[in-house]
Amino acid sequence: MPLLEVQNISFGYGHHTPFEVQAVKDISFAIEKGECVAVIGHTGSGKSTLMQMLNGLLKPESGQVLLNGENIYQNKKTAAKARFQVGLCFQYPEYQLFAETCAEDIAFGPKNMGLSPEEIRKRVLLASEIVGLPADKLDVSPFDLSGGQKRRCAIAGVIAMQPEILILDEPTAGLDPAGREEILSMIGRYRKDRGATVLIVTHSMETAAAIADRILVMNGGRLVLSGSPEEIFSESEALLEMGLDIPSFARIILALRSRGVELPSAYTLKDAARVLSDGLRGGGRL
Amino acid sequence: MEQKDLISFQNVYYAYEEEAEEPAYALKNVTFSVKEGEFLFILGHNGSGKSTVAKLANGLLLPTSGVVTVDGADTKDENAQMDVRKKVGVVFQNPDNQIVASIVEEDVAFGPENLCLPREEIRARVDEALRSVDMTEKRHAETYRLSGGQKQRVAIAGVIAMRPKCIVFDEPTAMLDPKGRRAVLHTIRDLNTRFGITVILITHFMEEAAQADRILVLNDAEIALEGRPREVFSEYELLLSCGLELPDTAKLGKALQESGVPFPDGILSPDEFLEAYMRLRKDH
Repeated sequence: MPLLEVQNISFGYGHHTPFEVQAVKDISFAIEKGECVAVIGHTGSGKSTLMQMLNGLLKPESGQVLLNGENIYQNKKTAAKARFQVGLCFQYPEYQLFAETCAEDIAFGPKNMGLSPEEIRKRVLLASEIVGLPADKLDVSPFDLSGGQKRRCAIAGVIAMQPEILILDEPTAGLDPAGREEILSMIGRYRKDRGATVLIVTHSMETAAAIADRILVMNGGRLVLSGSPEEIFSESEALLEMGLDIPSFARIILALRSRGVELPSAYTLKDAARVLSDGLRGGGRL
Repeated sequence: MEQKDLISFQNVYYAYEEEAEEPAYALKNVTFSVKEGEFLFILGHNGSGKSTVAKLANGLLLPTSGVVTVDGADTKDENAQMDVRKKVGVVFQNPDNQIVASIVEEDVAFGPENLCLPREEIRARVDEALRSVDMTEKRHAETYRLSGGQKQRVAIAGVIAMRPKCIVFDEPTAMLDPKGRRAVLHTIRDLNTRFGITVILITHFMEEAAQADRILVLNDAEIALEGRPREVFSEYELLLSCGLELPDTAKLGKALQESGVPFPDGILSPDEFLEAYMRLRKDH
């Protein structure tokens, strides 16, 4: 049984008004435990609406969201529980930091779960360790942190609830290259050490190629493609038409192919470097 | 002919809490200038002082010490303030925070209306501004229905309608999808090359900066590096220590060198990369 199963969910805004929009149309997919899935799609393709339906914030107008086989919208209690089980980290989560210290901010979620003070303390320490927030920052105001640290502190607040699945909406938007790299390696560590399940929404094709086991592509409220990074990025024309792209490294390989150089596909920096250097060595070239 | 300086920063310091005993400086002793018609990129880690530069450049903030001049006028001169803001427009990261009206052309007209210009003049400026960002077809559209990239172009049109000499873009593509990014960058380059508008572009995307006339790198409130893209991106170690990286093309070139391929240094654009690779294939 998949950890999360979405069956034919739909949602629209502004019904019975001239401004009616169907934001999500009849979407179905499943996520297995331990998977890292990236969702890509143009702005307004319905990604954020979809994420809110996965954690009990927004009830689909039709269809079901099953977590461990149980419908999270059965009743108010199950929907409330889903907010802890499915940890949703919004875009620019640092705007939601509010407490006087980082420790208090990270503790907010676990506190609302009604956990004991010892358990809360334990979880705060663990979560800050997972995101790589130095222990001496825990008693500092979150507003005194750097941009990347603020972002990690906010993500720690979600991880401290120990959700069964972590959803990150554009976790690297607005960060400098070092900040982006920290967040991505943090996600990698979190998955490796804890077998965590992660769903990540991103506008960066390079990020999707580098960290996802599988990619879902949304367009106009529908789920139009689903597959491995190799499968998805081999559809370069369809992606461009949808306002998306292929990773920059893949573009270079494609350009060389169009000049008659025979090269296999590659989507990440590491693979592209290997393919290109093999391309020179092959045929006794180097 | 020597181009004249449009904006100049001379030994500029800026502290957000001036009154504090040990003020934390967002900018320390920053000196640089931007020539008329230039396309300058500013790179730097989060909190390095980039956005403070943007706000100082059009008088939204005034330096704690040092001097900022726009077209020769000191931004501290109250009589020059209105003129400074007209000459230097700013476009920020989040398009949603910059749209004020519900219809595209009304939004673009907001600035000129506040200048109390005659009706025909406003009409002409709005039409011209929408044309220059390629949004004429959407002039009657409702702003909230636009995509992120379209909204950002409307925000840019709103600034263009003020006929500024310079536009400062503060991470204009950070929130956009790939198509929106491409469209906004294309618009910005067009403004510079076709309309001669001086551009200062602040970004975290190294690929964008590879096409600059000149790059300024800020690190912890100070200028760490200044030069042409080729010069700046050859300082790999320094860039890393500033929280930055190389453009993807250069990263790939470096990875090839590390795997033993005699790939040339200083390759920045995809076209250069292709040329260099094809040459290597021929040679071997």
